[in-house]
Amino acid sequence: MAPGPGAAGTRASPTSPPAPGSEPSARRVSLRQRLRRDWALLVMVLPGMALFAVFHYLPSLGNIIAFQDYSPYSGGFTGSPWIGLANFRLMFTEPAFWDALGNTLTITGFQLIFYFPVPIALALALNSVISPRIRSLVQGVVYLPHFFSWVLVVSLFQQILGGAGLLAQTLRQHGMQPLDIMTSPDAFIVLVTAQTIWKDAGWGMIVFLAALSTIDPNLYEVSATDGAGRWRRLWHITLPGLRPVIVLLLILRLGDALSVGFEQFILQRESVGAGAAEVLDTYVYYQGFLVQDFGYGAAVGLFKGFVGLLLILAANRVAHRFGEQGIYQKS
Amino acid sequence: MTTSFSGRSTDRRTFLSLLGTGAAATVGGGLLGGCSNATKTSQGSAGQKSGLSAVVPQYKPYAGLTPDIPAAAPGALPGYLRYPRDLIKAVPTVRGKGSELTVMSPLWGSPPASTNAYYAAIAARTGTPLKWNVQDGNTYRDKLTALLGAADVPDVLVIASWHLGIPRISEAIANLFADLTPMLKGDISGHWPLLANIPTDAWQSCVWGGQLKAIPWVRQAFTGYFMYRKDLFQELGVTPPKNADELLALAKAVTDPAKGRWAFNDLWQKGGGPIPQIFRVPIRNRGWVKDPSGKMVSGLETDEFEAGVAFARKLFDAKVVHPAAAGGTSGSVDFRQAFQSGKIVITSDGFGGIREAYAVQSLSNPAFRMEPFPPFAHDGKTPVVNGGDTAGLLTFVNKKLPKDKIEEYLTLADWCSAPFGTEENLLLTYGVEGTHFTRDANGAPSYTAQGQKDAGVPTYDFLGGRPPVVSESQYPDYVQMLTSWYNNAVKYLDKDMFAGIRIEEPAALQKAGQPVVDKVNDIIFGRRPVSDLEQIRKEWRSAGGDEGRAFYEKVVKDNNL
Repeated sequence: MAPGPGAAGTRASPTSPPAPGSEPSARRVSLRQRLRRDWALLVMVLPGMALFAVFHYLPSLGNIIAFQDYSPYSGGFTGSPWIGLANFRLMFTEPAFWDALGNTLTITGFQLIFYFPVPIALALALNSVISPRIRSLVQGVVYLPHFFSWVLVVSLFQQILGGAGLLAQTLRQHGMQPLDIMTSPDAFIVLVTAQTIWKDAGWGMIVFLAALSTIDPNLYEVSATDGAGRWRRLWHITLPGLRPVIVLLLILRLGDALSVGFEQFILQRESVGAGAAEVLDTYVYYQGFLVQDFGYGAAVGLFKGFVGLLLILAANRVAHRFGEQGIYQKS
Repeated sequence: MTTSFSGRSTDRRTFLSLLGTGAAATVGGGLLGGCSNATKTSQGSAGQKSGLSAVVPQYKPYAGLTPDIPAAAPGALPGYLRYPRDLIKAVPTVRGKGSELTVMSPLWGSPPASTNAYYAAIAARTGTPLKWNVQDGNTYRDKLTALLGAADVPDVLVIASWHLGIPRISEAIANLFADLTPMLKGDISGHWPLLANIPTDAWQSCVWGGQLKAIPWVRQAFTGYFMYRKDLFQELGVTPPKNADELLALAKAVTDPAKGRWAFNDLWQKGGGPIPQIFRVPIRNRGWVKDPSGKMVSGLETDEFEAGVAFARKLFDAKVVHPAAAGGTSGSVDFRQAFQSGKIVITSDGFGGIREAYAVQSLSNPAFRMEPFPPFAHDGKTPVVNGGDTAGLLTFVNKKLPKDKIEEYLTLADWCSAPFGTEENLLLTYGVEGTHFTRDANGAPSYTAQGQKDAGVPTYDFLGGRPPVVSESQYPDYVQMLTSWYNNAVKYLDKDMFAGIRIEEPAALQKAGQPVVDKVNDIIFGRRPVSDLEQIRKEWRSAGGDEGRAFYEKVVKDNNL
């Protein structure tokens, strides 16, 4: 399939007539008319905008402390001395920063391959279950762990797989050597991914289930009559139907590539050592927050946000090139 | 008061504000740059001493009960072998005006319900009800950082002395908390006789920039040591060790993984660090020692440190350490509980931990015995036992509070400072008779289940200061055991050369600290070889260690230590 160069453009305005300039008045509505027409929608958006303004846009101004020698007590936002890019210079010369960045990227890459497809597979599997009772039961069971806190999840893993946990004690009582699961720095990436799958795969599945429900069942019936097998239907109907959602979530995930979680890592940091468990967020905590060097912490945070933005823009462009909507489009 | 900061090189910020009283000395030049006011408090020249006594309360000992076992030397504690029947009423009237104040304090244990009969009884007795926010002591420093950074402090805030290392905390103290000097300086024995009973050196630890900023909670001189389960030792037929080899052999003897029993949790970092203590690693002087040439050397750089780490690693390799110990406090295993339930038989703890453990265990497990090891050194020679700040906790009052409320709080703090042998101290420590405690035939109080929950954990206790004593005669052998331990260990007590000097380390030194903790943990828990220590030292020196050395050398020079 090779969509024409205008494919994206036509999709953006499906109702517009193909002939350009035939009815300009229908397209260009004055601001006042639009306000009158859309006021209800605008009002509905207001609380959300207010939330963003108060909790995102306004606090974002605080990022200026990344360029300051910030002290909350004596200077504040306005009184702390400016130090230009000194925080950033320090960051790029700090080996520990690069270690944390490396760990973060490794974990993101690993989870992109081993975690990201899991909710899709789970959704597909669950979608093929006919009995609504079993479906809702399984759905409930797999997404419940999402509501557990990381403290609980880590404790649960510790109690079962830890060095003095259920598994280890059972092995010892049968004269076997316990496995080093919770304290091995090498296996840590597998451990955290397994924890993430256990906790969040069921939750991630929901959006794919919703996307699956929008696929026209007639397509399946018709293709089945034409002799398409189970895999052919999956390949030619289900996956193309899910593709926009998969691409959207993938782009969003890439934008968050430098955030792999905080609690999960700080809780297990001592067990496996900082060498394996230090990610950017815990690095900010120890080298920015705990030592009250908020300016430095903000610099690292700004770097994270900047890289995330670049990744989103790049991924979105790639998505457009493949004929997908991505997360936004120029209309 | 002058608070100033050192200058800043372009890529590494240095903050040092060595605050205190009296003459200002310049810390600066070279690596540090800029200037700062360095002053010292307790051990200085006559001029400084007289300056100090002008801001702290005059010491007027409160005539209390004569102890059964006197303290052998300063640092040891007097003991009482029975609970007195006739108590002194130290505060005759209800002195509060009914203002409700908010207070946040750390607790190493399970917090009581936010409203309970114990709080209510004290509120009725003092006339100043408090709204408590009791937080986990192990993560208190993290919470403080956020709280102070946001300048969002309650009316009354309790901070442990070892939390005072938070960078810029002296700025926070200067800006957020009230200056108590005008109310507390000089002779206050008429108005607050129990506050006047707090020893002077504890008060002096509460002075920042020439202002008295806090009320000390006085603790005994030792930071913490090995604690062992004497009952389990007797059951297993083992005795406390006299050197490191015996400790290892002992650990192997008591470890039985199939039964889920190990010798230790992490004894390097936690609870006063007993392994560094037996290896004589400098923990005193904030981890710095002066070598014969006058150069300051960090504990990390000493041979003792290396030997101690190698030994800690040996313990790990011998598999005598609880498998979850590497996770530390965040590893979801509560090692106080593990110790009390016998999953580990040796731990480390502060000395208040013994009393608190007995309060829990005396109800459910009367055979429970927890004792510190007699002091020993790894080579069997003269041991060293580390001492700490006698102002173990400091209570600060919000600057925004009006003067009459601050005075009302001081009246409450005075009440909370009631020493052993007073009615107030009984209520403070044990709660209400019948509800929180019952008395045995000898008159010694014991907690009921509710009393253990509400009064058995220190809340109001932390708000006042009183010279510590050993008085829990209801726990078998406790008073005899602990007083004789103190009387023995006080011979080996290591004095801190910076005692009384409020020090705030350069930020670079602070930032270099966590990576060292992480990397040393890597060695102790088998993730890196001991030989990496040299590399770790090198990284620490360039990351801020050398800057810290210059800083401390300056402090030593300026104070003629």
